Amino acid sequence: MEFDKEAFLDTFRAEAEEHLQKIEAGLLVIEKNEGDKELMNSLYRNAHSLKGSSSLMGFDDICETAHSMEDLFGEIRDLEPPVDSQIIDSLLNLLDQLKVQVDELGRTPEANEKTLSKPAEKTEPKVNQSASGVIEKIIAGAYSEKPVEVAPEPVAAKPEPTTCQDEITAPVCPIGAKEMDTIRVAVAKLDALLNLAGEMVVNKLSFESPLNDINLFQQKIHQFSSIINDLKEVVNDESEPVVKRDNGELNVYLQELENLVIDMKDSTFHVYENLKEIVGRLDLVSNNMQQKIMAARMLPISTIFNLFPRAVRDMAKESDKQVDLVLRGEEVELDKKIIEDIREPLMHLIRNAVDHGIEPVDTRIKKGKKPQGQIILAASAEGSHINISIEDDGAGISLESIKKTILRRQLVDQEKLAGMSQSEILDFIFHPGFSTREIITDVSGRGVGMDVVKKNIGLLKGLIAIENRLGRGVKVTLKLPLTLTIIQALVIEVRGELFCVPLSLIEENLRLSPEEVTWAENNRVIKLRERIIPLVDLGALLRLPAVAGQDEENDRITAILVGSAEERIGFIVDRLHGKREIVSKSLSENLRSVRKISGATILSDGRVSLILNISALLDSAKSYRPEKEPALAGDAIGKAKRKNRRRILVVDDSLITRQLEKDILESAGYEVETAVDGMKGLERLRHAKFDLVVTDVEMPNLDGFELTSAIKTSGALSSIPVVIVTSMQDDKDKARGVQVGADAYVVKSDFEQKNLVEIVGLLIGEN
Amino acid sequence: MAKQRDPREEKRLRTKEIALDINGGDSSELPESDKLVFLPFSLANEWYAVEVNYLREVVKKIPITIVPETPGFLAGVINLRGEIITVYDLLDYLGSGSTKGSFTRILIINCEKNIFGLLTDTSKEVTRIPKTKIQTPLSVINGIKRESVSGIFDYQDKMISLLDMVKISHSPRLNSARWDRSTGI
Repeated sequence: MEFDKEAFLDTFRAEAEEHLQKIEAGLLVIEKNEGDKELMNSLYRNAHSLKGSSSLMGFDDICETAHSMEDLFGEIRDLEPPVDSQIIDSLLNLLDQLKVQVDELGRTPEANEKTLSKPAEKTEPKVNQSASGVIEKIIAGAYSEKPVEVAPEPVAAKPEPTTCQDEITAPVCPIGAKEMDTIRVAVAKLDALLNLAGEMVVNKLSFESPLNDINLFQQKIHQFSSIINDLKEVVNDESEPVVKRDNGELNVYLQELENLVIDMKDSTFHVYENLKEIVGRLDLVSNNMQQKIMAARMLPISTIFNLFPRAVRDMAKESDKQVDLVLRGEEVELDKKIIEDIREPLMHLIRNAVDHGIEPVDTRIKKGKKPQGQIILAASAEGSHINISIEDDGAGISLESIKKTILRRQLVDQEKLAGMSQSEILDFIFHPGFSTREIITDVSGRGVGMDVVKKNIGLLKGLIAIENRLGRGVKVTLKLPLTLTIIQALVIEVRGELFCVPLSLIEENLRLSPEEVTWAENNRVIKLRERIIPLVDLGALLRLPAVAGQDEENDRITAILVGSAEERIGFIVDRLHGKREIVSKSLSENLRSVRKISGATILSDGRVSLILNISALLDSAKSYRPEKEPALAGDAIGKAKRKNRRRILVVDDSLITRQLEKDILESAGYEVETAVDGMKGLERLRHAKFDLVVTDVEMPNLDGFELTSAIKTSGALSSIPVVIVTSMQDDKDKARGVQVGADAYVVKSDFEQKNLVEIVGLLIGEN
Repeated sequence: MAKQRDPREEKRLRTKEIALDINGGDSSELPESDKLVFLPFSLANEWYAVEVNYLREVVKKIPITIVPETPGFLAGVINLRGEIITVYDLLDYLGSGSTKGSFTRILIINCEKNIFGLLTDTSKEVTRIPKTKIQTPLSVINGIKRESVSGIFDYQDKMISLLDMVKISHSPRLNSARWDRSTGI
């Protein structure tokens, strides 16, 4: 056993119960015919996750039931509603079954043992059998054209009433009787609290100005009292009486005035001191409160780290390698949201390390390495951020194979590639669509590429860096904030607008005199500690309208140095406004697609300030070429783009499909030609240059597979990516697609505009 | 919308309407469901109306933070008592110019949980008119404007276009903040 199951039992139970609740609620919605595809998919994912985690925990019976449920959801999720009530019944039955199974886990240690070791005999075989029987029947029915007939033996769909009774009544009591020492709180509620706490911390700063005002007032009173003293002296000067009347009366007034001033002094002093103390206490309490709420949603990173030993073991076994995973710094805590969001990227990076990094045993022995490869997964906290590194002692990344893929995907031409540095070439693995995988079968599903890893890390206000030691392995480092809601930020001014930059991502602030800046290849660069660092005007990069009257040539240049290891860039800004603690707030849905922005905050003057996405800006800066006149340049780029737009050939014998695909691709900016069958398609390909082919399978003369095969075996055309679009969702077909060399396989039933454009974009880049 | 009524009832309402019009538009005796309650506001020289049930509040001009690389009709974001709200330049969206330089108020719209702001030059008080006065939009206007306007009516010698908030707030164009490279900001 690789990890301590007991420690995870509670987490598993809680998670499982949550999944089951969601499935139950969802099924009821679907039964009422109000569900949509999205809901169906989310239920499918619930069942899928439950299957995964129960399998990881070794709860085989739960896993099996969840698997049946997943299958059933999988089969019906593409069907048009309404969903047959028979299917819903069986799903609900499976759900009840799962509820019982999950509940049994927590009841007594003995029960645990029983479930852990062998499945509970009285329920498992019977229901599973009947359930899967029903699935087959229903699926068979669902696939036929006619509406699904009610299964001939409806009884079989449900567990026998008596069993059901036994199962259901028993667990009800323990649940009710359980002692409640924990409450599950929706993260959104914690977020709201944390947000308010953050607001309080920020608002607390606004006490400073009234405190200063009181201080000022005190000084005025002081002046006032000294004037009274002067006046007194003048009045009582015997040698030169200013007033002819009796000075005694005047003195009485003066004395009263003086007493009053002393009182005023005293009371303002008290107000000032009291207020200061209150603010101080408030400061303490609000900071404390913020930290405690933050802590409530912090989890040790072991929550996800512990998933990996098993995963690595399985991956290694699959690929027949020996891999030892070493975990370090599992106790480091970070925000739940970040933990959740780095799970997939980490899994991807580890899978890469096992699949592409660690060599097979005999290769390792030949190289004189230990037969067993090692992957070190380490976390360490550093100030307000955390570093997570994945380090393997494998072969490292071969620049040659990256170059090959670059050329095949036509990302840059040969000439340009030759002039690129190693780190520039290495950087291409983060390029969208840069995957050395054989075939893309699912874009938005399981497999994520390095570009997605990078994007996700960027959204978490983090950075990713990769260190390639050829022959000795790869080290990928993620730099992430500890929390997302309250961050330390530097407020910068760019063309009159204030932006926030997470402090943890800034290496240093630079003040440069114009002499320090030189020009290299149309870029401003500086030399800093023997390194050449490009400078990029942040205002131009963000395409902010220019502010009149700026003359930077003679002034000193202010810049912030960002990036990591190999790729540092100085962003030129107008001025710095100091660091501040900011509460990160989310923007409306549509603004989340603005890549260069990762959120927003409200500054103490009430203005909204945007938080820059440094990861996206670094990417953009790399391809940025200064434009003389940005307004006109946009148009020029558009024209230039139009001139060499990517050309796509759509081959389909159905006029409607052909037209639909043409419209979709054209609206995404591609130039599209069509052909009515494989033969005509091949003809077109021989006469004109295309960047990609989208083809149907079933066609007269030459079908899609034959066409693909013809393209891939012909020397001149073999580099053109082929996307097969088909109504057949058969694994055999998919395999055939791989065999003939197709680059992607899109099933028509989940054929969505976005999906096709996305895949095409992955293969040949967006237009 | 007006349901089917018997002709006598119909006639009675018509007569009442005419009478109300003479009395300066006081339509208080008409059942609420037959009245359009709206806020008239102007963009450049044109008048528009938004139904009050989609209107959360009207705020005075406050600083707007521009968001880089977004379309021109996306004016930016504002802080409304701690809430960050996206504000649109409706005139720009409709392709008839811009109110970024001239706006004095921001209408905060809450339409089916979509909360956003619209810049406006001037706005008047909330007003009621009988729904029967609303006519279908002119067939001469087309494109995005035709889609965004659900009806027109005369009010105090002005021709007012009633905005179809549901359609606008769900419009893919409004909801895509994708910056169009060919047109620039």
